[in-house]
Amino acid sequence: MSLVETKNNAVTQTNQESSAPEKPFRIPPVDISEYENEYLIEAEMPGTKEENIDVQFHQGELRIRGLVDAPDEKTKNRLDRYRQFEPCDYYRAFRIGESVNATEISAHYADGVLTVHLPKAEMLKPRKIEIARK
Amino acid sequence: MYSELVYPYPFSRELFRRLNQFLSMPLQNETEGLFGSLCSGELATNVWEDEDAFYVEMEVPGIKPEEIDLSIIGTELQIKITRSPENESKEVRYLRRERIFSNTVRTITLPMNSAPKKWNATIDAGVLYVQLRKPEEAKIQKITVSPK
Repeated sequence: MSLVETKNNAVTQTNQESSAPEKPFRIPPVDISEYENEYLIEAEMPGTKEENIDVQFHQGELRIRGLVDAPDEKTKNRLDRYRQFEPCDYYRAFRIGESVNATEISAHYADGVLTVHLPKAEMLKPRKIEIARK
Repeated sequence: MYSELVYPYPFSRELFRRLNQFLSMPLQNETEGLFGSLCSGELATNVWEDEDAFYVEMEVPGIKPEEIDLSIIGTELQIKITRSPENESKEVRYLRRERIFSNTVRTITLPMNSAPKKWNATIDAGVLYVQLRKPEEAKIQKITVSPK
């Protein structure tokens, strides 16, 4: 089932089970936005170090993955008072349509948020058509 | 916001984990209630202690240090997050919005009778870490059991 549909099917959520890791993982919440020249995916992956972020594009599928370090030894004797999250890897995949220029996809990570830039294919970018004088 | 946790298999494992998480939520936190933090979409938080200190971890992805205000009021830690206005251009069209961009105040009652004497706070990879050193009277006292 597609969670996201755009007019050109630029970004759709793919079947998570097809390429998902075997370990338990969290699905990071995302914002997907469209600008004049690109689509943007912003995924929240707090607790992940930049070097543990993996973004792959393969056969039309964009896969984002973040590995979270296990708690260190000194926290093993901790006494929990209140617990709402546990260190857990992140994974989410999206089907990318032909309206995206796949060769120009880029990503950066800051403050626990992964941002993936998906430039629009040339055919979708707005073009100004000059009126020629006769 | 809570991200969804997925266990590829079996489904029952995840169900039990969530049920266990729900049942283990503290009732003593009067400022939030049992259902408040589950329903309001607020930032996920852990509170734990060891012999010397209390520790608070809060997921704050995308939030800058200058947007966080920490206060200690008696034995309460108040975490206030004031988001800078979003710089949204008119050209942007959101296709999906799952992230939360709201101001929030969270008050955590520390289970001790007097205020902590020392504390420090850091942010790393979108997680806020606060360490509050326990006053002497709040430290765990070990009692030796001697034979008769």
